[in-house]
Amino acid sequence: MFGISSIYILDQKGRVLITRQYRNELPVNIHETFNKKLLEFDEYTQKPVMIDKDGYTYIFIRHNNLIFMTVCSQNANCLMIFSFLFRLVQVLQEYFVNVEEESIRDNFVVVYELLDEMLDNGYPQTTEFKILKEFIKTESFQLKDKKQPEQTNFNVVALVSNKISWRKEGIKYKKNEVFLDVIEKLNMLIGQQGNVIKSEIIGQVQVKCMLSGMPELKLGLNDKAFFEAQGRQSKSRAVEFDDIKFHQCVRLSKFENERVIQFTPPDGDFELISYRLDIRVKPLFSVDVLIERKSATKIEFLVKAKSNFKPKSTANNVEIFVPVPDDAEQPQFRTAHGSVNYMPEKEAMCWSIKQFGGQRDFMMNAVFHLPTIVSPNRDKFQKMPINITFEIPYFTVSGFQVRYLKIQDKSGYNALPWVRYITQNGEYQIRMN
Amino acid sequence: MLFELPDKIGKAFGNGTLSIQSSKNNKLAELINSKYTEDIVEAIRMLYCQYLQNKDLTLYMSRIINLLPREDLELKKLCQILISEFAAQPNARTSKSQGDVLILATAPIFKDLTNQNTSIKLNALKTLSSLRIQELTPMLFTAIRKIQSDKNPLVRRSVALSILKMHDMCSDDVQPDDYNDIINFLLKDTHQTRLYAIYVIFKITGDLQILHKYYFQLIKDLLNFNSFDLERALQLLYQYSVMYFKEGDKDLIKLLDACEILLRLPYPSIVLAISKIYLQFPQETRIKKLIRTVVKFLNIGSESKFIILQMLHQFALSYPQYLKEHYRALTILQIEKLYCKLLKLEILSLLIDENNFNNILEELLYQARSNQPQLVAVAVKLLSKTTIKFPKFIKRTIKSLLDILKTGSSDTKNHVIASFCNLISTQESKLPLLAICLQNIEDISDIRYKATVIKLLRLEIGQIPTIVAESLRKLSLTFSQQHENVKYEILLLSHQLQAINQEQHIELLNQYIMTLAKFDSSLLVRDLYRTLSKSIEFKESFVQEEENVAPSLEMQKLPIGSLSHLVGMHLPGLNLPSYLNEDTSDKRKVEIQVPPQKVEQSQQQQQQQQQQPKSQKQQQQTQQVENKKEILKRVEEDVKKHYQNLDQVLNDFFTD
Repeated sequence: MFGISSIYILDQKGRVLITRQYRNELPVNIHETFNKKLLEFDEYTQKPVMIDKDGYTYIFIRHNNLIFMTVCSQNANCLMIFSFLFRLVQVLQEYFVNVEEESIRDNFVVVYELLDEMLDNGYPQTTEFKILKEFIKTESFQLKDKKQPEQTNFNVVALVSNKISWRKEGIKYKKNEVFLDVIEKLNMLIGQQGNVIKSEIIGQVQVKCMLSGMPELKLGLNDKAFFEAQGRQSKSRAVEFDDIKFHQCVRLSKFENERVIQFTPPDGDFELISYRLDIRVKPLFSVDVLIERKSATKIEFLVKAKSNFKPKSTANNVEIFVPVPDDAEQPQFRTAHGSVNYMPEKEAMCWSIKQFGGQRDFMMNAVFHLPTIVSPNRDKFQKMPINITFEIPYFTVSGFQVRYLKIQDKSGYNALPWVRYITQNGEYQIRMN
Repeated sequence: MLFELPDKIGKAFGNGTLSIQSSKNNKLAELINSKYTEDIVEAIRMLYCQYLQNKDLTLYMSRIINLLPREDLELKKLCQILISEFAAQPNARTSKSQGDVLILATAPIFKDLTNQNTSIKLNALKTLSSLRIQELTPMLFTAIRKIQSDKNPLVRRSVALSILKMHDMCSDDVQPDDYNDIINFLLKDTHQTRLYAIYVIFKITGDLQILHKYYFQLIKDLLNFNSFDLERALQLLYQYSVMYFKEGDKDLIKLLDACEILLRLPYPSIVLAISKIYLQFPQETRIKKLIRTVVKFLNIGSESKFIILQMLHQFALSYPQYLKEHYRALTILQIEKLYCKLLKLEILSLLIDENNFNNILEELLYQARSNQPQLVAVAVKLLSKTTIKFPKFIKRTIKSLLDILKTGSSDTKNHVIASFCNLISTQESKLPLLAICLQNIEDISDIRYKATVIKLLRLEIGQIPTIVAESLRKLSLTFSQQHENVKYEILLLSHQLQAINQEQHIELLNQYIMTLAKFDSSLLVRDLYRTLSKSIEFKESFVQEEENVAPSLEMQKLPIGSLSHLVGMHLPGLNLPSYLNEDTSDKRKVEIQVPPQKVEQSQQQQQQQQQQPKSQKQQQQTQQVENKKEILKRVEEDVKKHYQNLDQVLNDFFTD
């Protein structure tokens, strides 16, 4: 509930690029105390919330080569401050694309204006980019809206204070369309014996809305609780959504009572739904690595990758990162599928396969030479996991399906909904023996 | 040369930089006085730069104030921000010149309050309320009253905030009579303005009676706020519920129900605010839902993840039964930050039960082999902790720890030994674990743990004197290379062993160690040597004297065989462990007796028995002898066991 006392944007060495003080209570140059505090820890042990001996709390995030830091003197909600800082970075990204020391230096007046608009007396105010761009214009935004500043301001005011603050009236499109992208990320951790330690699906429904007026949308999913509430059985597989979260536009009380997803969408891109399913899933890919030390200076890897999804699906851009000793050199690779690269900076080799069909298995052989002087961390690679990245279009691991999307508007136009499914890797790791 | 010198000196002392500075200032003056807006904006940019370098801007302020009445929106805004930043400087209120400048600035800003443009009006209000000028407060309230009924809700909301701001800056200047009417007016406004008005009242008076009237309205409005306002509203409701509700109140349940719907929003800060309310009025089903929601946020960035994990840690302590089903979500990933990994391990160890023991143990073991030493230390420590908690699984844990001990780095070995030492104190059968520690004593690089192992050995000296003697012999070989704390323990061990076992080779060993200690480089060790050697001299003199004199009563109080007893007095200078007060004489008798000699004696007795006529007494004697035989056999077996290889002791322990 308590606000931020001051905000700093610091460079990598802790020098101030931008600062705004909202309360008089803070000592001058408090950022120097923060810098000293920061030096007490290394990059692994540095916690994002620190407190000094006078009771001031420093909450900070890092972005590129910058540190966004706030000082609080009272017991504030940490997560609120974090979300403000992330929002600030997001807004700055929308303005300058690359948020780094140089862009902050070049545009520091705009940053000042933004901070003034986003925080009042340390209390977060307007943080939506769509609204902010109406108030604060850089050269790229200025040209379009200069003609009628008063009118746009009025729209903005209506936006901020209305109950539907996410959509303004009077939007018009020639062709009314909605694009739904169902993206599922699979977080999986597979143990040394091939057992699944953790499997978790993080899903989201991204919407690109190009609809006129103030339409009312109704979305039907294969939600098990919905079918149960209706007292009927679904033809296809129903999914149990326990942890489902919605954009603010969805009428939550209606969902809670009737399990119906009804909303007036914001214009443009937004995330409508996010969900987490903690269900047991068979690994989509399994990788076996056989390591053979041919001699003291030679090590051979035999990598076998297998896909376990249906044959009709195909995974694109599959990359398998297998850790190797940090002092390995002179790599020799042999494989019939894809290509292999040695990445010394990651201490791994990357086996890329453009298209990996379902129920297929591929082999790869790699030989590395090792120097006679043994590196102290030579065996470290065995404690690192194998990482896999992939993308499977037209497929969801959970079986998530959009049953319908009804679009209603007063004007009664016809609109086209488009749905696309995709499964990607989240943190997909296999522990080596 | 003479002509050039002063110039050089001048440059060295900064003449050059001064001239650059002055040329900069000239340029700034030129730009700020220019007719063109672009030039002025550039000049203000330069002023911002100077402000960031903590330079005094008083000189330029009058020009900035002159720029305020201009029509250009951006220029006006930049000037206003600069003025409020200038006012925020620590000496702005104390310095008279700066204060005067600020008062000058107020006139054009007051004028802006009546402007048609909403933005200008808003900025003017924001700037005025942040100027921190005491004299202005009554004027500002008058101006606020004029715009409180502005048609624009955004302005009305800002009015509430500006009152709060003025109060935050100087609470003495703002009295309830000044703002009561304004706030009452704002309470009837839209949901956002109402929230701010309630917030202002709470912040200034610390009371939430006002919510009696607006409680249901606020709950109704919850779904319409943006995330930051929603958090504020929830905090107010939390405060209110703490002040006015008891568990089970109908009205409270309405709030809890509303919060349940809000758990569907994708904002972690809201969930944190709700968890505060839920933990204040705990209801099992709601907390179960809350935990599930919190677990979902484990996939966000590591900064926020840290807070989320701390929340989960709290839940794991208070409601482990609901978090147990999500333990898989807490599995550690390679890319995570160390503090997240450590917290996850802590939480996992709190969630262990008989169902998930295998999986969590596997995770702990995997992390115990990791590359990060801090992580290894915590993992091993938690392993021993969980073993103490679940003695059922002790064999499995010890086996795994042994695996780590064989393959781990020296740091890891230290941690494993430390956890073994920890385990020894809780176990009844201490010897097998002690044997493992002894086996690896050479590899322990951390002196604390090495000293602890020797200390533990000292505590068990009564049971395994032969093994202690052997270990002492090994330790004596590297005595001079040890740390003083370890030497100290070795010295005590040797002395204690010598006290209970006065065989020749033990005495020689003790003498050898004492000699090493006598000439040791460490003062601590030499000091201990002196104390110990003195006490032995005491013993000799006492014994000589006591041959003639009857033992004193005090002597009887001291335990027989203890060092104190031998010395005939308590040794206050030496911190003696508690074993000295225990009567271990029985155990010692069993071990000191050497079996073969006694067996011979019994054979002789048997021969004598055959020769003597049989009588009842003889029968009794033979019975006694047989009993003794049995005892001796047992003793023999025991001794053999002790002499056996340490590995076998371990095998016995694991394969029963």
